[in-house]
Amino acid sequence: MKQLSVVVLFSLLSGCNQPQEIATFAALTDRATVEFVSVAHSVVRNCEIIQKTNREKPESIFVTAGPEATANECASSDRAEKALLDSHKVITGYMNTLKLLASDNILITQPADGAIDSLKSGLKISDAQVVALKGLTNAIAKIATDGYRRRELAKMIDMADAPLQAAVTALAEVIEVNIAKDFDATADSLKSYYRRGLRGQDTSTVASILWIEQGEAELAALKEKKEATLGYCRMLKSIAGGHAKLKAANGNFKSAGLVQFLVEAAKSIQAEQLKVERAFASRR
Amino acid sequence: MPATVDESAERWADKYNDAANAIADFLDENFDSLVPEDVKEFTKAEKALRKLAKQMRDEAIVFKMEGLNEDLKAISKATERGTKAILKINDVKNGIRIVTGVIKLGVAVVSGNPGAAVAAAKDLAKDLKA
Repeated sequence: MKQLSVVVLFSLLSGCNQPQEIATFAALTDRATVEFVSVAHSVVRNCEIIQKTNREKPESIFVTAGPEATANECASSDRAEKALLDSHKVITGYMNTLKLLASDNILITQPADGAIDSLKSGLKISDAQVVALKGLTNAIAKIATDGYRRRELAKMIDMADAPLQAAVTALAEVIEVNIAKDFDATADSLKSYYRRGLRGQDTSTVASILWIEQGEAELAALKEKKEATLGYCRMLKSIAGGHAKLKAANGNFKSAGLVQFLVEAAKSIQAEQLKVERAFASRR
Repeated sequence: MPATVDESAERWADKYNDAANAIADFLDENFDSLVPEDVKEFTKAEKALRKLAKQMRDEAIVFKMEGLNEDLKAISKATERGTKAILKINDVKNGIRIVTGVIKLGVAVVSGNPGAAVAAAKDLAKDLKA
């Protein structure tokens, strides 16, 4: 009878699925979105490139030194970077909360021992029974807490999904349109700078060839950053897609379709994150 | 439908950048026939256009991000809700209350008393909802 009760109760309670898949997805998302700092800073970095190519006067390819851009010349870029980071911070803050709420690390285990000990005398149970009870109560506490977390997660995901989709759409548009154009215009400025240096020069000399190569290398680095930035945009869309699936799951976070989707989304996020890391790691 | 401020700023930035590129092309094509003073003036104009285009692109980003505010407020509310839920789980007093309920349930189960187990399970469910 005792065994049957335990089995029945456990069967009922273990219907509450652990939200570990969400914790993994949110943790990955939280980590990947750190790269946005580089993406946002590219707005300022591009301004510095434009200012530098504007200030230097390559009347000849031998004159390349010139004053660096000062911070106030890129004040509008500083404001744009701040606006981007502030908006993005809200999304990362949310993802971090999602990760914490879904994480197994917040399981209540500490108060359990003390609570059992304080009840021991009142219940008149033996030490052996206390040990058995601890194992059982910890397991039940875990399941009970998971139920609470799952409900809170479902509520939070439901509440945040529509604004999250809207925010990601707006951010993606800024990246795909504004920041992508910013890279193109910076490339135009660089090309013009290197062309200026070659005007009136013999393009077959070693100095000219080195000058051309230097220009090509800088343009290639800029192109790589632009591609990685667009990759970041794809990553944001994967995050939004994953979140929409979580909402659609309506608390049933263990469904095979959802788990499979999150695994695929996580792979895509990781791949794009690596590209962004690589492109912005170099100081070119 | 009239263009928004950010769309207008972006469009003007494109036009300024196109104009700067046109000047650079003109200088390439006519460099040998231009006097140095003219080259200097055209180069100066090209640089000024690039600088203005950049500032307009930056402003367009700022405007767009400001337009996001309403959506972000809703996400902030959801985050606040989640944070409160986490604090509730981590709150020791609340934690002890929940675990005590869990223990009562466990005791009822191991003692083989279905009535007490059902009552304890109900109490626990009430506690978790609180």
